[in-house]
Amino acid sequence: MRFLTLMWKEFRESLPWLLLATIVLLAMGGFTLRLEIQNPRPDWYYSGITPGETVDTYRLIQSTVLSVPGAWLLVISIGLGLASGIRQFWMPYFTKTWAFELHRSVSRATILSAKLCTTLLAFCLPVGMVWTIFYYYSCRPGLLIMPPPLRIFIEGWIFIALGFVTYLGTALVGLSEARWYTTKIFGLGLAAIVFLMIFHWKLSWVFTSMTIGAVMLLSQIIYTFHNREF
Amino acid sequence: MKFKNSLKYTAVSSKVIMTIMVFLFVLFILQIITIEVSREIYRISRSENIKKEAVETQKQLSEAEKQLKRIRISSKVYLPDGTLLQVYDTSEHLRRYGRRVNREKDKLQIYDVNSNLLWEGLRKDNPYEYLSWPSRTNVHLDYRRINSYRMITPELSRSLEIPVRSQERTLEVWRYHWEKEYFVGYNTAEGKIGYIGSEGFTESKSNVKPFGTVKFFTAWCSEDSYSPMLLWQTKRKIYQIDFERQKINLIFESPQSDIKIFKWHKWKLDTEELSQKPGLIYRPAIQCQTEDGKHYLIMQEPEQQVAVNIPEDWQSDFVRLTATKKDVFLNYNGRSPVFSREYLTSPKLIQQWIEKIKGKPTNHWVELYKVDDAGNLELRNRFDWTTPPPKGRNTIMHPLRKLQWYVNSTSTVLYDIVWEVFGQSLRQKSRSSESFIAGCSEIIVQGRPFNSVLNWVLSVLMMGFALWHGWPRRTNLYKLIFWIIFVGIFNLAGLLTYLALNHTVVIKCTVCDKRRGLERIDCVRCGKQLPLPQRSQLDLIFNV
Repeated sequence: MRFLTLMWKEFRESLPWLLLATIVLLAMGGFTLRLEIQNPRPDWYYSGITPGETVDTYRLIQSTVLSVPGAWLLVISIGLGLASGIRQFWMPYFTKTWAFELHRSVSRATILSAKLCTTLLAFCLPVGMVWTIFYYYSCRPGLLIMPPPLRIFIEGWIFIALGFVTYLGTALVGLSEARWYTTKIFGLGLAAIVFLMIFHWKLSWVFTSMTIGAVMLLSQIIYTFHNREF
Repeated sequence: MKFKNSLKYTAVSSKVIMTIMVFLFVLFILQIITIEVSREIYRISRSENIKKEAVETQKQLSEAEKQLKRIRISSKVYLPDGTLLQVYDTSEHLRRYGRRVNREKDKLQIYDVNSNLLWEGLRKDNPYEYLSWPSRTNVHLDYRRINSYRMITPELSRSLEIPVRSQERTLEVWRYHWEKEYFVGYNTAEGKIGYIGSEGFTESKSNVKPFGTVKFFTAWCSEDSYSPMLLWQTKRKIYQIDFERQKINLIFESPQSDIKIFKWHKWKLDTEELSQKPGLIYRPAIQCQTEDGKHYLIMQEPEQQVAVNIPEDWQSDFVRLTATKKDVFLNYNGRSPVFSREYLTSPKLIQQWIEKIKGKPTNHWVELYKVDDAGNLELRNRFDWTTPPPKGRNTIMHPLRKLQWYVNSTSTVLYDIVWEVFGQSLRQKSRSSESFIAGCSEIIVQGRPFNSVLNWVLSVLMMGFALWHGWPRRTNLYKLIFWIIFVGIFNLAGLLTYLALNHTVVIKCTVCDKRRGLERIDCVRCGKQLPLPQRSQLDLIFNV
């Protein structure tokens, strides 16, 4: 019960950012998706292919209708990760409310897990749900010649998971006791390295590198949160 | 308790790994910035001098030297009867120094093997028609490019889609499934129509056979079609895929080794078109080179495949094959001593190569062979020349190379160890894609310290500094030893990591007057505890 109350408190605090992210994704992603569907590419795009000519192979490489909404999803996931991390782990410093937040009749583990679970749900439900709606909409029979492959749907969820890794990086920066000009910022540095690591064609590699990155950040967050003095 | 301990170990080791990763990355970026900025400054300061030197050197050359230079620069070409000619482009030396020259206005000089001038004039008026050879057009996709499109990017991954079109509109689209390695076809009206795999078209997903990993492909449209056909190379096979007719042809299958490269010549003409072009002297052909150094020529009109028996001492990359309606020809460009790719596997071998060629002339030759149906060679023509050893090169290290040597001496010795173990494959990996792994390979290739003595000296100095810094602050001897070894291995990045994670305040011990840390109660030098403060009134409150 206390855990749920804490989650509700975290949710209330993150709500403005969550609403903003969902509305922007729904509006911008939906708008660009609609534009892509209304202007089907093949007919005009292939018009440069003429008989007896060597074909420019780059013309045969196509992005899906979800590519622009996907880019919005990436930006919004990272933005939401940063905003949630700052809201939950930086703001108590600025408002000097860490003591108030920690001195409750619950353990630190409960407080931390309430924060993490709220953010995880925030990523999975509103943002993930919008992405799932986009994908199912673009797969509707008769809408496109070819529905986007399932891999595109998975890649969208990778972007959402990347937002969560960014959140963990931001949280570690907030909790770190090091100075700004030393290693305090390195949590976000690791998140940036994980971001670079997802640029790969093998999904197994992407999942492995994201999991390792998340475990590295999470273990430091839990250890620091339990051992430091606020 | 167990969880707490394991959490502590995971968190602490994660922190160390995270910090060293970030420092290694930042250090590499700084090294690259230093080298690239210096390269640009050097290039700007030297470019004018290089042009002046080139013009002056040209003026100072004797007639024999000028002739040798012309021979060196000239293209060596063959007429269909096997006669060798030298084609000298008079604008070539200007182009080499970065001047833009209009190719239409190029003046050519054509010489025979005895350097007698046969013809001189504009390129477009050239009366000779020499043998042409297989090549690759610029519009193809190789493994590196294909991977970069398959890769997750901020705009998600992309797919390969082949349209089947009439003049006005798209009728079908075939999408390649990157993971399952076959094409899935969709009709604009009816939806999914079937699959194309290595064994041809099928309507059922369960019957489709994958092609295998795609390594290279090119596309063209035949004279009467708006739908692209593909030449599709996998590890050991080359297919021709016609999506309009839903037809697959296995053009070539390498029996023993993977395909290294293939080039084509007049291949995009199909049989009908060939019959309409009677003046054409060539047969459509594909030259295919495998990783074991063998060459195959696959020809049409009639269909024929020849495995060419080339001598073992030849450099396989310098072999070209072409087929006219009468004969099959092989052209080999040789040189001695020859730089082998094996030298790139280790710095010692590169040094051996430099020693080997220092002060020695280089022999060059071109040969034309006729190839019979069994793949045996018959020499038809040969031309050779010798170039003197380069002046001053190989003895003085290039200033930029020297700078890189100094800058990289702060890199970790691990790069050199990885380079020694993986060598050439690492270089290939760095060029094979644009992914994170390729980036890491690039960091190792570009940032390695070249086994330099300076790198070792710096490592030892930094270990000494870490020992000096860590001795008064030590809480545990094993921990200190670990950090000193860590600094030794990772060099500057290791030292920065050590300082970032271990720097604490030191004070003078009141007993022994030496520096001591505050992480433990007793002094690390004299063993005495920190002195208690003088009793005062506040002690009544805090009861110290």
